[in-house]
Amino acid sequence: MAKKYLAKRGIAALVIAVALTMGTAVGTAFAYYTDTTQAKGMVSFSYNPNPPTTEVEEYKVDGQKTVAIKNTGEVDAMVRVKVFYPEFPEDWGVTISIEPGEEGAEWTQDVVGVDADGNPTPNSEGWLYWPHPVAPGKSTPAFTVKATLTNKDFNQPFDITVVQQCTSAKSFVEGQPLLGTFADGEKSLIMPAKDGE
Amino acid sequence: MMQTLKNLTLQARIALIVLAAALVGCVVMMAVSPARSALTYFSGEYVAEIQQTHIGVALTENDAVVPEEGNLIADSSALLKRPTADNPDNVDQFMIPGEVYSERLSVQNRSSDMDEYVRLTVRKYWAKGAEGDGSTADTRAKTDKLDPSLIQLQFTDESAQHWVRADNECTAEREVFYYKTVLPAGEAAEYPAVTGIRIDPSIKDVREDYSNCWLALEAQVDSVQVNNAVDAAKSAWGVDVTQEAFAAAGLNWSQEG
Repeated sequence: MAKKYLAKRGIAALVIAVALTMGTAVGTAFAYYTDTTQAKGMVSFSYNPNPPTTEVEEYKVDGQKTVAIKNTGEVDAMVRVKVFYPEFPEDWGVTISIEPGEEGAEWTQDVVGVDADGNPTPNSEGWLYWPHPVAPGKSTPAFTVKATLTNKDFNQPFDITVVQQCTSAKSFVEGQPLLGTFADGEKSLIMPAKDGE
Repeated sequence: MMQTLKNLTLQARIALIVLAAALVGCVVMMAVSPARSALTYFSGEYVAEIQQTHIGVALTENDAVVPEEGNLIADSSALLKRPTADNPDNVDQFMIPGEVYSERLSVQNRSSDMDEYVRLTVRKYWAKGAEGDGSTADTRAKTDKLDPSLIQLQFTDESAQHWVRADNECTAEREVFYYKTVLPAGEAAEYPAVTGIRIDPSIKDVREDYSNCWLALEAQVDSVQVNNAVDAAKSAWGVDVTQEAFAAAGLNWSQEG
């Protein structure tokens, strides 16, 4: 009985040994000559058969500069505005601020851009965006660049410059954050968190 | 100490003796082994040289070899040349939809001693971002919001005489071409696979904004050895080059070159 037990073990060991040997022998033959090479490149492209055009409308109301943007093109446009004015020291008694009118309450700086990795970039340059498309011939609601003088002796002249940019409203959908692709990339509204989120 | 030794039991004494004998044995072996490695004889030197064959493939753009990790469309004004009746030297500022711009993509066998079978894969897509200019980083990245099928690669009948376009592997973003016959060592393909690029005129009807983007092209060439090319292609690329569609188009990779 001991002999039978030993014989079985011997045979089992032999079978395993043969199986392993065959396994290692089979895998050696598959190595082929191959080569690969790659290259890439980009070319700038722009297709805008009917680009939007807008201009600044400035007028004085009660001695203060009031600004609106008018669509002078033939297609809807999304617009943004930047106002350049000097920042005077506090003790000079002059303050300049931007105050939207009643209808212009939606002028907003709460907009983010997107960098190459898809990460949000803040609106560091301080552009004001109108979050609705402006139809051809129509204007945005106005806002006032209000200069307040508390020091009557202040008599230094200064400039307030208004710059506007527009882009096609094709990608804008009401209710969605994306405004459009301006010169420095896509801009989207910062949507308020919904209730319950 | 002698007293301690005398007081040990027999077993302890035996154990002590065995350990002492083992210790002596180890010491003797340490002394002996260096002496066993002295060379007494060695044969003369025999030298053999083995030369391995090299396979190599390169991409060519407009009949010029693109260097390793080089750029396609390195000179965009060369791509945008479009002679007109009024101006034979006309170079468009941007690609005009509907017009074909010459861009010849082909393959060259760079090995000195090995024939090969080759395939060309071209990926086309839109990218957004700004090109770096040394002081600012290159932020151009692929965008999935614009439709790559608007970029059309020209594959003419003459190209079709030398290349097979693998319809089942082609997508909106990728075109794959297989060279029908062996590409001999050192030679370029007889005719380019891609001869031009065109923007589909239906771009004027789309909703997306193409006013500020980049057209990107990536080309990759792959080659396999001629011997057992069918197995090599299956192993390296997972592609069955004996499939019905290829055979019907005239692809024959069972030649031995």
